[in-house]
Amino acid sequence: MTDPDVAVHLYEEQSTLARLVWNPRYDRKMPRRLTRVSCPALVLGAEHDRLVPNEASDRYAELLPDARLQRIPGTGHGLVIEQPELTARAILDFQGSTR
Amino acid sequence: MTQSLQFFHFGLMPYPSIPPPEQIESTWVTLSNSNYDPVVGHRLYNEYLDQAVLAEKLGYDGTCVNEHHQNAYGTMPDPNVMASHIVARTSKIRVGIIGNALPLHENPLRVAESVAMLDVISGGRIISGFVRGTGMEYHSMRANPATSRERFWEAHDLIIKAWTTDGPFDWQGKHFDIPYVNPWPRPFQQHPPIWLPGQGSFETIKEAAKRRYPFMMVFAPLSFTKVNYDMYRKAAADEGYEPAPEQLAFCVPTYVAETEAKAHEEAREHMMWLFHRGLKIPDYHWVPPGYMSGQSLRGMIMGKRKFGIKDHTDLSYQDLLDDQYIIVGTPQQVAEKLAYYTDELGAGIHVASSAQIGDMPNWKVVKNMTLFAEEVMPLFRPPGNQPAWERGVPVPGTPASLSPTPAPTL
Repeated sequence: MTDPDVAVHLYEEQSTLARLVWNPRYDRKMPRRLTRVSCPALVLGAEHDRLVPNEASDRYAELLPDARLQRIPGTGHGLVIEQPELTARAILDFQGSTR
Repeated sequence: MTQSLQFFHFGLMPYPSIPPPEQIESTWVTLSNSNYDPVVGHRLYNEYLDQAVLAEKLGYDGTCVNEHHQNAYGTMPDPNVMASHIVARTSKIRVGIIGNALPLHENPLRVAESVAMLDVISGGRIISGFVRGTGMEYHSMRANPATSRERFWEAHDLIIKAWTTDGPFDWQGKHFDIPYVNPWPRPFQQHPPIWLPGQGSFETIKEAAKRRYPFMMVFAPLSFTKVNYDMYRKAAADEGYEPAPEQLAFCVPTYVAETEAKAHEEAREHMMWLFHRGLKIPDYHWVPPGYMSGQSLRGMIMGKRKFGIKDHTDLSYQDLLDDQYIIVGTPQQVAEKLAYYTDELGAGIHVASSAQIGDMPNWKVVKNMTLFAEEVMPLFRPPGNQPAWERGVPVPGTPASLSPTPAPTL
């Protein structure tokens, strides 16, 4: 049987997500807006995001006209906290490459 | 019997002709409506509504309807439509709408208006239950479960104010923003009494006790219901009063027949339909994220463990009897059980008394209701066996019904 502490913790995490994205589940205007971005873009994704599925970052990279998708190894949803150095490095490298 | 009880007829209006439980994921949310035949539905609705009308003829204290969406367990997505039909075909019985699922509605004023219309048409016979809707309905209607509790209480406050304050007034809330709140008609009663049916969350029980609203547990074992009612009494004590028995209602399916053997023979399959098919619901439909607080979820998990509560679909018929989810027997046996429930729970209202259950055919419902009304109800009433509406007993939930201290002004 599940440990109640774990069950409650996971449920509270899901509850926070529901507060943000239960309805609407997606922004219908976002795909059209993304196709209008004219500058280069880096889409940073987690290796395994349990809150927002990886398909979301895949889709961003697909729709942005000039985008590159990079996933930070060893991360879930909180990649900025989980792998701060790798995340910062990815951003700096991207900025350097676009100068 | 020394106990006194009020009896509220309450059929869920299920649609019984669905595949067996092992062939479906759920009786809610995803069960395709291709299983619904409107010709069968036409017959069922009219039988069910006739049963509600019969409840008045037999002297029940009230008859109830409720709101559920996209399922075969209860086909009343708009309870006010059903209440309207019953109000038109009866003249005295109290009609409980238990209740309108407030967070599922875009604008609570629509509920305020519909219920006020019914209250005026019926001359003040309406009891207005408010519910949040089940977890399943947050999938079906896509209302946000994480904001449902705050939407519920804001909608509640708005409706009560709309019913009791001269309009127009401006409502600027977190979820509702209405510059001119001024509903016509106003309700016939000061406002219809409010009932709060629930599944046993701390928050609902505390709020119900604080506001002195009758609270009702649905389809739970006696032991778990008792814990929740004790919690209500404790919350009431914290508010400085002792609740009247009429503030606590228990919803227990009941079947009565001439002999014990016959009662079981006639009731068994229909009770099993209710618990195995009607309540075939996966956890991920029951408890969408945010629908409960973490504290309530913990309470539910620990409560289930402590009391050994099984999932509905794992309950055998014997479990239903042993754990006291249902009452089945001769009039004498049923009366003794009801007396026991009343004592154990300190409750004063029996909801679902002998109404239609699961896939029970009309003839059994009429027989059950008639026998129950004639042989069981008189034992819990003063001599003369008059229903509450003949005796002038106040409707449970109105300030006049609550003793000993008066209710605060809302």
